[in-house]
Amino acid sequence: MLLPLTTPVDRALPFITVVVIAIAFLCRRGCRRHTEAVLFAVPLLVGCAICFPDPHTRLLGYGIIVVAAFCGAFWAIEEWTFGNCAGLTLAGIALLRWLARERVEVWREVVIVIGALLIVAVMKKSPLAVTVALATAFLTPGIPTRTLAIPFVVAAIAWVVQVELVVVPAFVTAVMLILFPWSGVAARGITYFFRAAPAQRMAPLNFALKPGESIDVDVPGDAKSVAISAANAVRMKRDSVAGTLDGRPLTLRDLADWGYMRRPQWWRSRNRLPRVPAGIIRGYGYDAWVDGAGRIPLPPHATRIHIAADPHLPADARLQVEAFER
Amino acid sequence: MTIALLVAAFIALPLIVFRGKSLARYLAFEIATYAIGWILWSLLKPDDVYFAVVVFAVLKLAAFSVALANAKEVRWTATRAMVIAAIVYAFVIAAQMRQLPDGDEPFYLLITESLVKDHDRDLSNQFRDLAHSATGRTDLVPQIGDPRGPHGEQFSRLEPFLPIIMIPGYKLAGLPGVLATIALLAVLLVRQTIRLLEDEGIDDGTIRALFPLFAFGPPIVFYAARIWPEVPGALAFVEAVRGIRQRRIKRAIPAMLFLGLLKVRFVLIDLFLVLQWPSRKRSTHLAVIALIPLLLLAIISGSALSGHSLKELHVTNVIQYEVGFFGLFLDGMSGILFQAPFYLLGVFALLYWREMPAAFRIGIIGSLPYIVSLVPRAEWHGGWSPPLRYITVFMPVLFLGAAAIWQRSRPVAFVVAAALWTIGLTIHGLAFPWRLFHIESGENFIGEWLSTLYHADFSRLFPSFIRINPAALVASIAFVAVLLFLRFVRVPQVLVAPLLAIAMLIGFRYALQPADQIEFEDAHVIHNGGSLYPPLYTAERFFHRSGWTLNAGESMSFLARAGTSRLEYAAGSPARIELDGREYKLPGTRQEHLSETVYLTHTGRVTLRCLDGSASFDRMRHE
Repeated sequence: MLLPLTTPVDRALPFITVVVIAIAFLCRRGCRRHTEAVLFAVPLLVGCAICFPDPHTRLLGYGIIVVAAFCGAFWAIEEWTFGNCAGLTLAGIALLRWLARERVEVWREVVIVIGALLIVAVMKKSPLAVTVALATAFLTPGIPTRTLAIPFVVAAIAWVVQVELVVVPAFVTAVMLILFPWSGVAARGITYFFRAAPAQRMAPLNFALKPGESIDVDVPGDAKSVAISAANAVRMKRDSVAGTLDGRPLTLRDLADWGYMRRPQWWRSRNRLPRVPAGIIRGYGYDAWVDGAGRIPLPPHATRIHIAADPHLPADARLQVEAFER
Repeated sequence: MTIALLVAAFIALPLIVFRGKSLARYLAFEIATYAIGWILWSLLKPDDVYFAVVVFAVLKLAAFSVALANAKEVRWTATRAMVIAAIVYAFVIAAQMRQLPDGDEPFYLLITESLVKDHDRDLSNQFRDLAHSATGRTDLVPQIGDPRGPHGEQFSRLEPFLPIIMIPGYKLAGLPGVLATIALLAVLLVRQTIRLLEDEGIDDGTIRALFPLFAFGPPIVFYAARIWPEVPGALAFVEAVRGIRQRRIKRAIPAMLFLGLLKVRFVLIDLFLVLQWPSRKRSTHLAVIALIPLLLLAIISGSALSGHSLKELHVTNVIQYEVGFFGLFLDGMSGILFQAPFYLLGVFALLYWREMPAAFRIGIIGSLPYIVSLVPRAEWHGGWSPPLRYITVFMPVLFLGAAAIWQRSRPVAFVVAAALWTIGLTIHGLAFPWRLFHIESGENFIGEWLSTLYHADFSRLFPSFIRINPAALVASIAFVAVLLFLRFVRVPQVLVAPLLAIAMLIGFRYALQPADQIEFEDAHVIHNGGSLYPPLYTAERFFHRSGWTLNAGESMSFLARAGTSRLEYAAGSPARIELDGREYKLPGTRQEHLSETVYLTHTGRVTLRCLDGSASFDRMRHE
């Protein structure tokens, strides 16, 4: 092992490097100077891997470098052709969808790529075409199978869009690509990155309350909140009450189904990110997801709390009291 | 407030130079960068807000520079560049004021204060009443070599011309006013340097592409708001070179006088500049320009050489010349390669001597006696100052050479590499201005940082000519070889970045291995107690053999190779140590260092523990 690599994204660094080199050579047609400049993303990636021991900072560093290379190409490419657009789209899809995944269903990915290339083919060749294709591929979960139609629907609409923009597509692409190490979370719950606040879990509770069940728990001295999620609640509406904390109703705006953001569940889920998410990122790349725990603040000066699961929950649903947090 | 001013500044910059579609597109980009900045802020939630703001501002300045280089609708003049520099330097002043004046700076300021308040150069009362000094330093004592007057006056060995220049600024606003005075001279330096390039036929596109590396990169940006004579000296130098090139004596003579008055060693530059004067009255001018500063200094300070000695020019040791010469180019802490790599293009321009602009040749010839007198000095690296102190004055001419090379062969890969490194240096220097000052230990900050991260000796990857290491030897040979190679062979530039990445990987793997030589004061050694010897702020520390002192019960651990090594140490009385589980008795030493043969059974992390007594450990060499 050449570098101190700890995450699947780190281990995919050679692949990311190849993608960056491909992006650099796509700029070659306009001006060779730009290729030479974009190629410096490669030593920067190596430098990033060496210099940042914290995985979160390091992976974000990869994201920033990739964005610089990718969006740099938007300005560097002087003559936009289908080849350039398709190349950039493929590079972007590779970064956003194929990286660091445990299992890739090849046929689904092939269909999505075909759809994305179709978008590029029908639109005016410009950065906008790349961004629309990329965003479509990014937001297409692929599960259930009917979602594979999304790129083709977008291609049909994009047919009529014949404008040329640079800055706006660059911005949208940058937002997507910065988060490529956790592209699954970015695609299915991007607000998590801005709403989640770090908190330390201190006392695991691990209660799964059946409908109508309740518990009383002593509150540790320095606890400020409790993390609660639901199970088997993906089809519940957001305003549904899942339970109560000291009589205060907890809706599916305060918490969510624990696995609602997983790719197979997400499309059919009615849940969204809890108001104050307490979940953590699990996995990398397009498989990354965040569990649906919500952070529920404790009543002031509470020494004991009463948590109850709503009796009207579906029979197989559970209210999961996960842990106290500092 | 600062952020609001930054936003206003970044809106003003494109309005100064861009027009039409370029302006509209850049302003759209400007808005997008704030959105991206907000996203990154949310993602990273930085602990050090100031550092995050500096990083963002420098990256935005870099993006503006790239746009400036590539924009099609641009209004570009030297004066517009000057205005851009003025805006940026206003923030540099604020950044540099996070640190109190250091090195020679507070002493220059004390002289100004003395001139303003007492109308004399006697600093005795200033040293007695430091609490009321604008320096903010209450720990100042006279510098080594400061002369004393017959009635107990305490003078400074520093030349008084810079303090005189600073008087108006000081009277207006104290320390900020003084820094603004220097920044004003830096702004003029930017303008006049661009004028020099224009005079020499460098095209606008080249100047626009490269000027940010000069104005906003080290060393100029680090001296632009600090109290050193280097930036005013560079301004005088560029004006002198322009005057000689254009045969305008009225421009050249004041500039040369200004140069000589700023620092007596700058008179050496004047000498060879005047020799290139195309006039029969050359010898008269030479005498006037060289003698007036010396005479004025003699009248003001009683010593024409201001504490310097002609003996400094007489060094016969060839090794010292080699060390200083290569050190100026390659040293990890003080050399051009690591502290201002862009200017290596200017060095490379020397190989195309005949094809270079005449002003470049005039400037380089003018710098020769100064450089020849500088390189054998023990303080070639500048001592306690920001990097490249002694050669900052020549940067305009090196910039001209670099621009000529760029215009000739467009070495994009090199310039991109240099620009990326420069961005890092600028961020580092502006966010942590106190780190511009580094003890002459043989390490540099990047080496120390990586060594601390991995507890492995990364500093040995960086050539040091202060504490000469094997990398210095390799770098010297490679430097000459590469210069000659590049003179005759054109390397495909597309290979530069991948090769650099491979070199970084190899260097990283190599650095993780135990070194042949362990310097005990270095950052990779984990110190459990003990102290640095000699202490951090020892004057002219580089003259001492440095190390780490351990007392009984204290220890340090480090990566080392199995087998026999020699442990070099100094101990006032016999000491007893344990290394890798074996006990050794170290005889006491007098002034000198002794070495003890030690044996390590395995390669990896070992612990050296002082069991009894006290010893200062210098280094351990594997045999």
